[in-house]
Amino acid sequence: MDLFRYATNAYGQEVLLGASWDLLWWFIGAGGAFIVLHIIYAAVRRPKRTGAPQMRAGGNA
Amino acid sequence: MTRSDPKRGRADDRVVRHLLPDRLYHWTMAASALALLFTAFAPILGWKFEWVTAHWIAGVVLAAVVVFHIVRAVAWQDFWSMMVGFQDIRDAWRAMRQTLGQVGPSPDKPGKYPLPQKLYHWAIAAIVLALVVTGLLMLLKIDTPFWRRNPYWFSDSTWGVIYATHDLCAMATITLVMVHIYFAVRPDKFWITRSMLRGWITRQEYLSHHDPKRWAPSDGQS
Repeated sequence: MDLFRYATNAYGQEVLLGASWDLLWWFIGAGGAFIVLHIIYAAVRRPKRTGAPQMRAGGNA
Repeated sequence: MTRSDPKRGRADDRVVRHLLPDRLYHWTMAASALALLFTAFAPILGWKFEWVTAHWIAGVVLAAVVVFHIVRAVAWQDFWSMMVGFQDIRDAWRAMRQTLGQVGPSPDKPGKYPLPQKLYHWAIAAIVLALVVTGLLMLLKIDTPFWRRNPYWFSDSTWGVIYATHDLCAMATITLVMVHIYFAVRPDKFWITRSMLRGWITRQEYLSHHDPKRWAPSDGQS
């Protein structure tokens, strides 16, 4: 995968044109990966509710 | 909804987080940024159309609102509320230790902006400033109603660096916008999104998420 785009100018020299558009999918992937990892992190870190049901005044669970 | 619903808050129970000029700035910047991303990348992805005019006009709008924001942040807002300080680093360390299950003091509540928001702000600020500077230079290469093109200001190699910087920053903007929209639509962060839409948070949200000693917005200013 190329990081940059190049062209040859009128003097036969290789000149930099810009960044390679192949990188676009890596940047999109980085955003997607961050989101997925944060969803997992937030789900794991979410405070757990107390497991035992609370007894009501009338004695029902 | 009753007037005392804590999720909506009564008018006298609201804390102003973003004044109208700041919200208008945010949404103008968002619209111009999305227009710039669309006109930049849709043709690369195969949707061919005459994109240059819309792109440079949206870029000039973005540059104008960024200048507005910088002037306003320095002259009228609490500029230092966005700076990363010792307390932010200490609280991030404490939060990390707590996440890893280690004992120790809990992190304090932040001021107006928690550390992740500050880091995001400075990341997008650096990238947008680089985009604005390189984009304004690239205007030298196109004819507009206001000027004629003059591509000979810089050598080919310098233009290459300008274009590569613009390209990389534009692609990084996609990553940051994805992350920004993700947090904006998360239910647990929607109180922040609402504050950017309507300007306020409830007093309960203010006391739950902020340290009044570090952010006291009683004067309605940010």
